[in-house]
Amino acid sequence: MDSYKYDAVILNNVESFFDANPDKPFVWMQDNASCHRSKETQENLRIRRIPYIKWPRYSPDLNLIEHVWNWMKNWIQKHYYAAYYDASKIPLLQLRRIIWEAWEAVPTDFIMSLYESWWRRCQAVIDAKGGPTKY
Amino acid sequence: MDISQLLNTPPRRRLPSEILETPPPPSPLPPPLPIPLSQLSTQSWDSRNGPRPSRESSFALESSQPLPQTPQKQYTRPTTRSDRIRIKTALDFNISPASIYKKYGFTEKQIRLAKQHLTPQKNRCGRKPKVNTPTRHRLEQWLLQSPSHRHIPFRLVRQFTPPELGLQDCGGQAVRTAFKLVGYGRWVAKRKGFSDDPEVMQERVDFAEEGKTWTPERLFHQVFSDEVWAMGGAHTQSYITVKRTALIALILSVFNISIVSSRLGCSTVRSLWEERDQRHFGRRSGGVWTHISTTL
Repeated sequence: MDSYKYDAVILNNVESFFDANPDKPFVWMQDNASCHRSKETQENLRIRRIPYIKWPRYSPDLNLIEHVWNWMKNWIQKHYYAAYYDASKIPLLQLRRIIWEAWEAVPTDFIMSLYESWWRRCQAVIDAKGGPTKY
Repeated sequence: MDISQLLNTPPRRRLPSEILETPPPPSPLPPPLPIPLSQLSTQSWDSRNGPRPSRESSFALESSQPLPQTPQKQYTRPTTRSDRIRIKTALDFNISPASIYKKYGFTEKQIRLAKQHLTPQKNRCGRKPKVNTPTRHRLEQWLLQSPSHRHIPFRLVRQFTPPELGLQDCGGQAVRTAFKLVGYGRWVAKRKGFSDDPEVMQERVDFAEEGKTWTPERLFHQVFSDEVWAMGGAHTQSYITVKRTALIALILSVFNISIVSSRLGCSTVRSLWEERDQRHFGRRSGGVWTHISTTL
């Protein structure tokens, strides 16, 4: 994905979400992928008035959404055998429906446990002096 | 008449004691019968005249002298499977080969062979590979079409390959052999790594110290995002199909080069590294190998 697609597909929807919740102080986070760090993306974030924070490099253990993806992948692997190894053989509409079902199947308790682990994750990074953690 | 002449066979060699004690007197031979003209070229000597007198007489004269005897080669008694099991059992109980030789009389070579295998081993035996050479190359091309194909286990390859490859009746072992013959194996996929750059590590610590002070309200208003790829179980410890050269590059990136070179040989590592660079990057690895050579 390049900066153009990132702006057209992702930031466009993010802007809609922020516009729909003007009274809540949401903050956008993005990792340091090349399309995220580009000048075009920085400019697009400013134009779309999306507040964001600077995320440290090589820190997937602090990104809570990583575990949600893994949970969804496991769910798809369990329920849709063919999509596990070769998603290209599935029609796009069906694949979209499968991903939506997996997202809806994520339990709320799992999301809450991830939020509750935030401070433990931070402490683990401090204890490891910035090195890898068990998360 | 001598018995050997009656039997038309050469006499056995007599022992020197027999020769010394009873030397046989030379006997006069009977005169040959007249040969009919019609049988001159069709009959053999024996059928016409009986034993050949001139040869017999000369051999009898020569045999009267003691001849040097060729020493018989002594062969070791070949071992049976039971013998080899007996030797192997003795070796398993830490009985020395010298003791085994003293007890059973097996040679050192027999003991050594019994230690290796109980039955003779043959190479190039067994069934031929089920997947032939053209299909193997097409299977390699299919593997390189998509990164997701590398995650498919061998036992499921037949379900995802196109029907024209004809692998529908091939099990996991046949596919494994086919990939092995074109240089591929199954290895643990590399996971996403961390940076050991001190600047990055300090950056992480600084952010973690700040994040530790976040309130739950601040955390709940944080929107996380990430780009995700679905690669057939790549998010867990998974296995991928990798060529041997790529595996060497992975080993070189993880382990000390001198250790790898001591096991595989410096020239082998160099050739594999150059083949990898030539294949994946289209260039020679002169600079890289110069660095490696100085490391060794």
